Amino acid sequence: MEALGELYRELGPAMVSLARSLLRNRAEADDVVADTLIRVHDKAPGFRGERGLRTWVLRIVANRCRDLLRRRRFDAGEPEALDPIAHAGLRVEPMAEWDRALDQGKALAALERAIARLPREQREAVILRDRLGLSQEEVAETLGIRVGAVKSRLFRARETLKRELESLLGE
Amino acid sequence: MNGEDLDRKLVRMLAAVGADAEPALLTRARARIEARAAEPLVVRWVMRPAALGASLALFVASAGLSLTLISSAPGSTTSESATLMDSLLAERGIEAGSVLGTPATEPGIAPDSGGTR
Repeated sequence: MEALGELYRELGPAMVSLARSLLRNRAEADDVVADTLIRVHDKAPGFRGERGLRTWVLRIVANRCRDLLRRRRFDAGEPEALDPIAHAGLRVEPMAEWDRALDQGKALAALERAIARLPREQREAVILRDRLGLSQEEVAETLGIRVGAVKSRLFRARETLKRELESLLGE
Repeated sequence: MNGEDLDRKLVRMLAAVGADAEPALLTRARARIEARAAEPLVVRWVMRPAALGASLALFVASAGLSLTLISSAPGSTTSESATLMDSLLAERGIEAGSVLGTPATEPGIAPDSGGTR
């Protein structure tokens, strides 16, 4: 049980960020994280470490989120008026060198909505790589795909997000 | 803004959003693990979805097998039909053994085939 606490201190922020970013629903995401901790506790004796601990744990989180998203029959997304970052239970780190003419909160909310509109595969890749800072190899291990597929998903996701960002910055 | 700047900005914006590991989530998971550990082993096994599924599948399979065995057992249907026939004949007051073959040899009644003429 002590080891579980240690693991949560180490990997908790990544687990919570991943679940909340993918599900965009704080309550559901927290259930996923708690379920994942229980599963990790149950399966830990059989963990042989051929994969990294971080990718193993994040893979469980990602799979649980996928199951929940599949069960959502209709997902219209959040209303425009709602702040998608606050609604998902995410927080914003203050950014250095930010153009003061731009409303940072508004820009990040628009970006979050654009991430939510991405196809699920691209969303997973971009969150793991760019939000959680995993290497491409770790993203591939977490998602159970090849590095080439990660690169292609990342490229497509970033192109879409850049277009959104460009139109936002051009406003 | 050139492409490289846009790339950098995008990556910075993506990394600026995250979440903290709330201790409440660990507490919740620990409470569930402890509550589960307090349950008897049999209850825990029975409550597992896989165990429930396996038990149900086993029950359906054994019920199906039992029905097949009962219906295909020798004598099970014949004894029933014999009993049925006996009771029908008894109702009419005819002895079962004398029924078959008698009408064809009765005088004045046409046989059902020309072979015996």
